[in-house]
Amino acid sequence: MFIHHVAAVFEKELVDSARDRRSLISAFAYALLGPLLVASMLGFLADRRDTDRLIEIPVAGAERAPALMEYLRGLGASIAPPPADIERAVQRGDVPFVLVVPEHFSERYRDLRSAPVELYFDASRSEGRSQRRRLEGWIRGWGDEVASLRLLARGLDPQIVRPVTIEGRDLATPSALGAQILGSLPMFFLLATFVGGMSVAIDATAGERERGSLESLLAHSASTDALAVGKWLAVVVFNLLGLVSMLGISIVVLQPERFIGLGVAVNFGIEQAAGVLVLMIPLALMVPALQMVMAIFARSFKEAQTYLSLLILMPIVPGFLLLLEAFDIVPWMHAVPVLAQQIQIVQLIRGESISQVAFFAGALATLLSAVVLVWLVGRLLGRERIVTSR
Amino acid sequence: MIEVRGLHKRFGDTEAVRGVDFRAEDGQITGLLGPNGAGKTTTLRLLYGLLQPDDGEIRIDDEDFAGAADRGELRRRLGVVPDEVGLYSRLTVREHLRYSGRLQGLGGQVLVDAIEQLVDLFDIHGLANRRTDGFSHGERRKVSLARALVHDPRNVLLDEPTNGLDVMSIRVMRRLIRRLAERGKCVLFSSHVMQEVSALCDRVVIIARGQVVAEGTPAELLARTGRGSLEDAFVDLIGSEEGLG
Repeated sequence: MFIHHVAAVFEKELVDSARDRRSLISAFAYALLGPLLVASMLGFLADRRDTDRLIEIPVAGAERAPALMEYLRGLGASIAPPPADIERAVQRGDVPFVLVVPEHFSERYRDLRSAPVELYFDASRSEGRSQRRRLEGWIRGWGDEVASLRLLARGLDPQIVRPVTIEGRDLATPSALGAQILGSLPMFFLLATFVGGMSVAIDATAGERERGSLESLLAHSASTDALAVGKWLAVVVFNLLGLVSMLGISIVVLQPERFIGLGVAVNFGIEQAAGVLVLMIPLALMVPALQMVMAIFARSFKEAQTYLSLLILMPIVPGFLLLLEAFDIVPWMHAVPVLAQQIQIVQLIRGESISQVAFFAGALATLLSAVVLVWLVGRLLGRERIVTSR
Repeated sequence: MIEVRGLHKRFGDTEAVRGVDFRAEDGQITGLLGPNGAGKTTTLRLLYGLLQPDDGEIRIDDEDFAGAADRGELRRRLGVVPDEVGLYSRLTVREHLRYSGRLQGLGGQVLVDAIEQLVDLFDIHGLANRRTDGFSHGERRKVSLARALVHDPRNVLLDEPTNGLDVMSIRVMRRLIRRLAERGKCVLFSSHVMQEVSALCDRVVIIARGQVVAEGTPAELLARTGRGSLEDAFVDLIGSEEGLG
């Protein structure tokens, strides 16, 4: 009969939640958000880093500066015809910039006078800014080359006009930044177990109190233990759905070939995803029970939401400390639920090996906590003060 | 059959129920009448085991259930309609009935038949497959009564079943309650509304300040107080007018 009751509660909560937009959003919106955020940040970095990419330069009067055009093509740029109305096209953002070679360019160039080229751009737009800077650098480079040739032709060493050169050593390399962004992935996975089933957990506890359905629910012959287990399982299902879809999306958006220019190995495939899942399952079982224990003290959905939002801080604080390497990892930490998973998932993503003892210690401690917490939910559901006060 | 002897319940410093005794017979409608705060709801909650009595005896169908560890058996014999309707807005009426039936241990064809009988009895064919979101108060009360009957209990407890209903819905609800008594069930319901009790009840138990102050048929109560109306008799019996909310 216990199983019969558990099944009834489980099914009802699943159907009820599947029809609830709030529950679906908390399970799936977050699952989408994390990996997309990481992927787009990495993608942005990869774009900036990607110097080999061909850029297309709209040029007006290209025929007046054939040597310059040749030089630019040699660097991998392609020369495109200019738009009809240059100023409007740039202002509207149709093209990021237009290079104009004025009529008197050839004449001044031939006479060894400084020959101007005009670069039209809109400084208020950020797109194409890096390409523009690169183009300016190339033109300057061509100028330097021409100057050197002219000096050599007159028997002078070109270094005379270059008393100092700057050689940049950028330490915030895209690789290091990329590694930092990738390092935030474990936190997203960990938080997924706190977010995925949150709405269902609240609806199944504080929600029953808020809509006044708890009393009639308790008037049935099912025991509060059966109610607690059925509700908990439904929350776990949503939690796992959120986590699994997050892992799936991560595999799709973090394909290594998309980040080739980044200089950091993005390696998140089915194997890593499966590892994360195995590591997270005990947590995905425990966190819902913890959330239910807390939410049951709340009389309304909103009140419960406040409590559970604070609960999310629980993994964030040690997570940051871990990221900053503010403390050394000592063995007992592997037996503390949440902290254990946090340490181990970072190791997993970095490709380090996790000892079996550490994994089982963490998993067992977490599962044990889950059992105790579910038992506690059963006790609390039947508590007189919880049923009678609204 | 429901029988209560010397029931006590204390919340902190206040003693909500102080020695309630009464008996409700099968095939009869027994009304628990009393002003607000008299202890009616607490008495009903003690009866179906939501609250634990501090002292006293609860007998359902001649079996002792006070302090019984097995709430399941107690609740299989009772159909409970609490004051709060408490429906799930995203479930249909049939899904509510099915959920209640399964929580009472029913399943399979038995449950399917039970649901269809209730849909017939309550005449809710048009509502049965609709989600309860947007139902009128009367419709919600109906569903809440229907789900309490899904396991065909011998005893039915109703806490203020006509609270907040319009005249037409009240008449429908009364007819349904009478039908239950005609089928031989023991119906116990609480109310603070005089007309409700006089219109429905075979027997009346008047509660004030956590104690039973009088018990009998409406006619007996009138005779005992020598009053012409039940309302005057009620005021006489509870000893003051102040408790009348």
